[in-house]
Amino acid sequence: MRYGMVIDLSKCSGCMSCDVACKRENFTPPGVHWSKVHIYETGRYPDSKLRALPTHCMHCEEPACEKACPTGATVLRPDGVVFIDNDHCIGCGYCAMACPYEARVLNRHAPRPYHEPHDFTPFEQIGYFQRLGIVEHGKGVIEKCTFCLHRLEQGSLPACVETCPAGARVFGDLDDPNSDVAELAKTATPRLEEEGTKPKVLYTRLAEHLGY
Amino acid sequence: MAESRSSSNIAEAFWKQRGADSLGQTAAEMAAAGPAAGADTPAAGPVGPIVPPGLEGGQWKPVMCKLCGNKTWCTARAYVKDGILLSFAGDPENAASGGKLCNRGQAAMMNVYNPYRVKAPMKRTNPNKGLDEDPGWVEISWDEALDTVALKMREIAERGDPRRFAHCFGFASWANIVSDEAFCRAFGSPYDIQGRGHLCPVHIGASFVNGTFLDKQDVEYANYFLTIGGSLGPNTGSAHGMRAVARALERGMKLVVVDPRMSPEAAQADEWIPIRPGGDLAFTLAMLHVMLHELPITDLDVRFIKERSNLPYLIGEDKLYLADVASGKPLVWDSVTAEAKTFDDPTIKDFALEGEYEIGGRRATPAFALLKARMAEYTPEWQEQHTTVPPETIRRVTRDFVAAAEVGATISLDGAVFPLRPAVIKSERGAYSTTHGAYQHFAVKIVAGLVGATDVPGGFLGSEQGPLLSPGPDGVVSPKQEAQPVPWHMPPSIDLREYYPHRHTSPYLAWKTILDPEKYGVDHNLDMLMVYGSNPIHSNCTPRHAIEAFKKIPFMVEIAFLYDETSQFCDILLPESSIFERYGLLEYGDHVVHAADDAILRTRTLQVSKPVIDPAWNTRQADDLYIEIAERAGFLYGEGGLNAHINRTLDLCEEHKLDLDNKYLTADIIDRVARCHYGEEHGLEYFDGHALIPELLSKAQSYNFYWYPWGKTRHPLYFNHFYANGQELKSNLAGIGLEAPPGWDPEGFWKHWEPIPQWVGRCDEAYAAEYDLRAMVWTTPQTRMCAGDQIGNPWVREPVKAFDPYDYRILINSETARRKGLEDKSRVRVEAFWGGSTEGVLKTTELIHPEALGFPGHHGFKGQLRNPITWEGPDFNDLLSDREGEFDPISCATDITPRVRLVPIGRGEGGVR
Repeated sequence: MRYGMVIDLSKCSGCMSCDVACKRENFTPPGVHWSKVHIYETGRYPDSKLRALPTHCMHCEEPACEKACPTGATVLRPDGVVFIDNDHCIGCGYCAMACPYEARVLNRHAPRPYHEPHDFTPFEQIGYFQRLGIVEHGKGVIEKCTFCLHRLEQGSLPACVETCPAGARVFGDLDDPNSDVAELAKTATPRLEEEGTKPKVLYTRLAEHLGY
Repeated sequence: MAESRSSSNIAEAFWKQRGADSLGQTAAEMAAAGPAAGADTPAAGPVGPIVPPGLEGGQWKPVMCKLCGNKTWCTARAYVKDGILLSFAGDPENAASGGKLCNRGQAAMMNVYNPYRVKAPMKRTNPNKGLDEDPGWVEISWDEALDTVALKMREIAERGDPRRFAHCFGFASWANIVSDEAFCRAFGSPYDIQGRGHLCPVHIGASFVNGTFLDKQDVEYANYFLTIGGSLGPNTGSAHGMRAVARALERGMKLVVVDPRMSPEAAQADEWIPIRPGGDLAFTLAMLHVMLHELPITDLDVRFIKERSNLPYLIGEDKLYLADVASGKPLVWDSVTAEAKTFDDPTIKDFALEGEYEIGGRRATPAFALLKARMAEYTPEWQEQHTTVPPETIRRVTRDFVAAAEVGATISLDGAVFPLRPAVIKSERGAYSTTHGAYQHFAVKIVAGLVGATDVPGGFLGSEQGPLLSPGPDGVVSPKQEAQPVPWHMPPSIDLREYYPHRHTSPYLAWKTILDPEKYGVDHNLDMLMVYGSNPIHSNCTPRHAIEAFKKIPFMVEIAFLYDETSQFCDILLPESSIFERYGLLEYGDHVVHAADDAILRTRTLQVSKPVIDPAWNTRQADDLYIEIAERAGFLYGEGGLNAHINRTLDLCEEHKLDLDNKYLTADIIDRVARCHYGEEHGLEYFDGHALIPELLSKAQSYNFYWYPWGKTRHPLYFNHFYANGQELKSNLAGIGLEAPPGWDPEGFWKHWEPIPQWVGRCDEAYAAEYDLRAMVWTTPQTRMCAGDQIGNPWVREPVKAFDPYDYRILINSETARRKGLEDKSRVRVEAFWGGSTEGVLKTTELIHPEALGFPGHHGFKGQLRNPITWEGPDFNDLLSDREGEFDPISCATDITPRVRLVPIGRGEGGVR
């Protein structure tokens, strides 16, 4: 079992539903983006293109973050999810520096309200501080995309996959030769392959989208 | 050529998965049978709401989303624990949305707990009104607020002129059971004025040609899709449209996008054709030229032209149908027997399309020949001066479009044989919001019609399904919706609807008239304006005219969700509950302007929302407020009262009609609607577990050709009724001594009223030397129809601010900027030719036409009590003129591509207030 994802860039139009779904699902506070969709352009007018590149933790097979972590807080789970154990994270930030995908965020401060100077909304209060979840947005720890581990454990899909209106994200077990994701992965490519981290988030038509 | 084609048929698969066994039933059968069997069962498999960890013990509840203005709202599930909304997900029972939610829907929770909401009834204490004035709000009781409003209405009624009350409404009202129209009519005022719409005139062509409110396009079968100034879905972040487009592109549909900017759809397209802003009509007319003058007529759908359109009808020298003297029916020329016959004469051997004939001393020409002659001058070479599009591109695109239509192909659906025309041309707001917008809508309808791609599989469809192509006595689809002109009446209404009888909305004309009623011949003014779910200041061209008008209105009240620009001019605010705190109802949510696949075409719904949380603050259901006000002001009860109008507008059956002398609340009325229209088992309690009752059309029923097949109706591609309405208007104006409506040069007005679309020039061409760019605006995937406070929702805005470098900026082609000595992040004032201006920060880019200046989204809000994140960016509407001669006198569209110039004022980011 190795969870992985293929993102079909020909279907993604950059609507950012995934970003907001991630916020909603994981209660990420202001300034913390586990999921990002970079909007940019390639080419010269009129042969130019508007581009959208969704990105988050690549859940690498050989994660640079895991190697950089001095406390063992970051681990590659047997199911392929790169996981941070908050109890062991000391917030040194080495992993964030090591990650070639800039997927990790160090919480230097406790969460702030989105509507500052107004107080936290009721669900922010609960989402940031009161629930007993697998992720806490505590001060001084690193956080990032978990592939929505809590959803996987309930037999569901990551929130970004479930919500993508265009169906650009395909998720599943890369080890299952009958899975859609394994089939798509055959022709998909990772970002920054030269980093050697072997991402399990792959893209179709990546070179074209990067303007190569 | 007969062809059977299979499709993946998403609606069928969806409902089968849920155990539906009623596919293929008629709509009536479906209604009688109720929802699909097994609809109680949540979706099997991995998709479905998941409780966030640590938050177990709550409940998922069905609810409408309503975070955009689209009438095909996605239903959803809200997770509530201990009375607090904690999560939100798509509705696995909604086939059209596929159980998805867009970015705005995902952010709905932020909208509910928005601290910038109006949290209690408020009274103004500062009598001075202005955007820079603090209203000095003080909280009051509901009784005081409602009594104050009711008293003002009572006073107006007692003075005997209910026209002095107007109600301005927006998209929010679409979930209400008390319609604006019902409220106004019950009071006696004709003024239920839409605060929106003049920036979105997308109705006129559909209402004439398809008998529907809007257009939609069939991407279930289309193989070629040409879009001019519109969105299939991705541009506006529509969950339905993105799903449909992704499926179609995966299937191999070719997409060609004509747009001054490289949009998300252009990025996904096979071809992007950059065009000068506002040149769309020239592009489309040149396509018609190629179809009619350069391609053999056999490439077109000659059967459709002869048997399914009014193009064979003989047109007299008065530009109207030549009618048979005896029967009054329009005449055609039988080219085989060489005689004139009524259009429905069964002895007709063949319809003449060309030639000139004399019938009883009257000269006449087939409409087709007139159309062809009119298009002669619009060559691909001619259009280039208005579009910058190379002539060869027009020729290639036209040929590709015509070839893709597969003229002659048929498809069998549920045993009914349809023409299959898998080629779509669509145009929309970006092209219709010009001074010639109505002609553009007519022109694209003609392009589609010439290959028969109208209301058949693969083609350009009307937005609703059903027997809507019913013909009038002339055999042609009878004018419906906005194709029916406003009756003449003098003195005119305050929004001048009589001068512009086909207008979609004209709120900006009302605000102008308030400032100078005599100029427009209006004999009254307003004593009171009530606003609901609309922001007629920010959503208006020339916002300063709305501001000045609102200062003149003695009393204003708003049923308000948040403090906005308009609320700053109000005397009383009645705070409204959010969709999570209130009831909502939407029947037949099938209005879609964008691409539609099988699931969208076939699924119609009754959607009902019940409160899933208690109001976060002291707010109330808008409908209940209308009922309360009507009771206190004395127009709720009895014949002609609000109850009676609710019975009428909701079409309540005898058994469930409101007693005219009782008072009801929203919940009870929705219960009656659901039971009355969908059976007793679908009372309000049904919606504890569901947000919708689905109604499935068969595949055949989802194309309106089904209801009126060959020989039963004809589409008007020669706009005879339209021209006749113009002639009647001319006569009526002459009767009061006018050659054109006040402010208009007669020639400039009447050139818009021809029965064949024509190039009318640009109103601002004389300013070309000094104002060398054209501004343009578009909806971003995060700002669809500016509804639901998308600009003030930090979950929507934060990712945009962080990762989209284009939003909030003014886009300029890099080379254009270089020539002007401007660079990225230059701060500029943009000045329109007529005097309007706004300020902002440039973004140099390769993604836009060199003559265009692009404004993404809606920005630059100015309300003092708003969320400050809404203040940032330029307000595009400040560039839009409301002067006569500078808007479309047919749809009343304001021209959103005005000539502008740039004045550098420094460098830097940040907002402009």
